[in-house]
Amino acid sequence: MFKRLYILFGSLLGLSLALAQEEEVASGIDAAINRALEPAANFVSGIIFYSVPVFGVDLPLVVVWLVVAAIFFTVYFNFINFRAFRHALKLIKGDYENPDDPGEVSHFQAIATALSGTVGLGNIAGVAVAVSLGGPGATFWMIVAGLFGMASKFVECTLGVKYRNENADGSVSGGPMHYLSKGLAQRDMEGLGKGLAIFFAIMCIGGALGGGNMFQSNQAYQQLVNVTGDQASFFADKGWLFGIIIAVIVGIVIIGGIKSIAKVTEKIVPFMGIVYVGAALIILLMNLGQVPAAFSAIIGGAFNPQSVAGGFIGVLIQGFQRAAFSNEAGIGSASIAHSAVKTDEPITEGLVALHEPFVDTVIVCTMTALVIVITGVYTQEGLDGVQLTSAAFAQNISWFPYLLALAVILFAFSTMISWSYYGVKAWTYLFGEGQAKELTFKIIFCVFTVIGAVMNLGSVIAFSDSMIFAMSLANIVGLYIMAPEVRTMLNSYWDRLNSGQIKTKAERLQAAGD
Amino acid sequence: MPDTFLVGTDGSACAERAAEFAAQRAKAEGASIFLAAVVEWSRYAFYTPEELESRTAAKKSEIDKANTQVLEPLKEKLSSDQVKVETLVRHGHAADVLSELAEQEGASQIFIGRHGRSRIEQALFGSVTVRLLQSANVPVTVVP
Repeated sequence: MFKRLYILFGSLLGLSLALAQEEEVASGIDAAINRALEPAANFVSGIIFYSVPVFGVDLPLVVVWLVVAAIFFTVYFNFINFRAFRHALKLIKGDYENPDDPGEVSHFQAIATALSGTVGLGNIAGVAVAVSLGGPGATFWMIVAGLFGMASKFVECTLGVKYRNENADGSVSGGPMHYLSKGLAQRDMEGLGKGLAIFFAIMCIGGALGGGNMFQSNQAYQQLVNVTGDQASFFADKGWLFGIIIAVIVGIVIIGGIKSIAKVTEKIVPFMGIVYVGAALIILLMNLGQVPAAFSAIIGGAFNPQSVAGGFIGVLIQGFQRAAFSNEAGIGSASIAHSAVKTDEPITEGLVALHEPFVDTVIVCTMTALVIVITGVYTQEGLDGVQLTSAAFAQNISWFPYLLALAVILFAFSTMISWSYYGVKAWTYLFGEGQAKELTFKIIFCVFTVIGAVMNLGSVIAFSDSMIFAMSLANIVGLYIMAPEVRTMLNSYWDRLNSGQIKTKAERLQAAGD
Repeated sequence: MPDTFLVGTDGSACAERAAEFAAQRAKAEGASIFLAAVVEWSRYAFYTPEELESRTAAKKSEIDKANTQVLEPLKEKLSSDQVKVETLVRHGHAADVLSELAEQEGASQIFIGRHGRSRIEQALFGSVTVRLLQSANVPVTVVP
C-alpha cells in the first residue's frame, strides 16, 4: 500500500515543485492548461450536444433523448413515480426486511450511498448556472424533469440488481455494463449488448473524470477563493495548489485505502445536506413576503419568459439539462451503487431508487433555486455557478458562505469518492481486474482533480456534461429493450403486495410467534 | 417444556461471569442456555460504495470472528456444567436484538453482565444493560 502512496506523492510533489519554482507564472499554468484542453473539451461537447434549431433556439438532441425516455417510462409503468411513493418509503425504513438480513446492505444504505454520489456541486452550482441562463422558469422545468426522471431511475436500478454479478467471495458487481451485456445476450442481442456495455464503460470513465471529478474540484475551488477574499485570496490563481491538495486527500482514500477519511465524510455529508436545506428553508421564511412573487416569477418564467435566450424552449432546456446532470436519471451511474443491496426482489430496489431524483432534484435543487430566485441575485451580472448561490445565501445569512464552502468541499469530496469507484468499475470492465489496472485509473483520476481546479468553468462544464450525458446514449437503449421485463416484475410484485403475500417484518414476526 | 435462558455476551469477563451464573441456574433447574453475541450494526449506517460491494463478505467475517473469539471459547467453558448450550451471532443493536431473541426463542429469563468490555464506550454511548432493562419483556438478571 505504501508503495502506491509513494508513487502518487512522488509525482504530485515533482509537479508541485516544478510549479512552485515559477510562482509568478502560476496563473500562466492555469491559463496554459486551459488553452491546451479547451479545444478538446469543446470538440467533444459539440458532438454530444449536437443541436437542432427549434423555434429559433438550439435544442440538444441528447436532452430530448433523456426527457422522452423519462416521460415514456413514467407512462409505461403507469406513473409508478407516484403510485409507489409511500411503499418505497416503507422499504427504505426497513418495514419489509427479512429477519436474516441484518448486517447486509439495507435499502437505506444503498440509496444513501448512491445519493452521496449524486448530491454534489450540480445541486449547488449547476442550479445557479441554470437559473442565471434560463431565468426563474428553469426551476419549474427542473422539478418537472426530476419528477419524470424518477421512472428512469426505477428501471435502471431494478435492472442493476437483477443482472448483477455475485462473486465467490460474496462481493457484488452491478450496473449498466452488466445489465447491458447480460440482459441483451439473453435476448439474442449479444453483440449489441457488448457494444453498448463497452460504449457505456468508456463514457463512464469520461463522466467519472469530468462531472464526478473536474467539475467538483473546480467549483469547490471557486467557493474557497470566494470566501477567502476573491482576487485578494491566498488561493487566487492557485487552482493547481488547491487541486493538488484535494488530489492528495482523494488519493489517500482511494489509493491508500485509508477508509477512515471516507467514512467520516460519509457521516458528515448527510448532516451537511440537512443543514443546507435547513438554511434554505430559513431564508425562505425570512423572505416570506417575497415567496408569492418568486413563485409567479417561476411559473411565469416557465411559460412566458422575458429576455431569456431561446424563450420558452431555452428555459425548458436549461431546466431539463441541469436536472439530468444533477440527478443522473437515465445515466446509469447510480445503479452501480444500488446493485449492492441485499434483496430477493430486484424490483424493490428500483422502487427505493424512485426517491433518489426526488430528494436530489425536487428537494435539494429546488431549495437552491428558490433561494436564488427569492433573493433576486440571478439578475446580477458577473456571478456564476457557486458564486451565485453563495451570494444568494449571503444576502440573509451573511456568514453562510463559509459554511457553504465547507459543505461544497464535503459534497465535492464525497461525489469524487463515489465517481472514482464508478470509474474504476468501468475501467476494470474494459481492461480487466487487477490491482495495477485499478491503480492506473486512480492515478489518472487524481491528476484530473488537479486539472479540474485549474480550468475555466465553461470548458469544464461542457466536457463534464457531455461525458455524463453520453452515458445515457447506451444506457437508455438497454432500458427501452428491457422495460417489458421490468414491467412483468413490477406487476408480479404489486399483485403480491396487494394480495398480502408480501409480509412486513412485523407480520412475519407475528406469524412466527403463533 | 424445559426453560431457555438467554445469555448476552460481548466477550468481556463480566459477560463470562453472567454466563457461568446462568449455567449454574440452568443446571439446577434443568434449563438450556441460548448464548447470543451481537455485532453492532445499524440499518442506517453510511457506507462508501466499496464497503457496500464487500458487505456480504464483511458480514461473514464478523460472524466468524464472533464465533471463534467469543462464543466457542465460552461454550467450551460452560460444557463442564452439563448444560445444553446453543449459540447465535446476530447483527443489530445489542439491547434490541436480545429483547427480540428472548421472544423468538421463548426464553424465560435474560442474563447479562452489568458492564461490557469498554467503560468509556458505555459512558459515551450508553449501557446496553440499562437499555435492555428498560425494554425487555422477560425478567433480566444482571451479573456484576
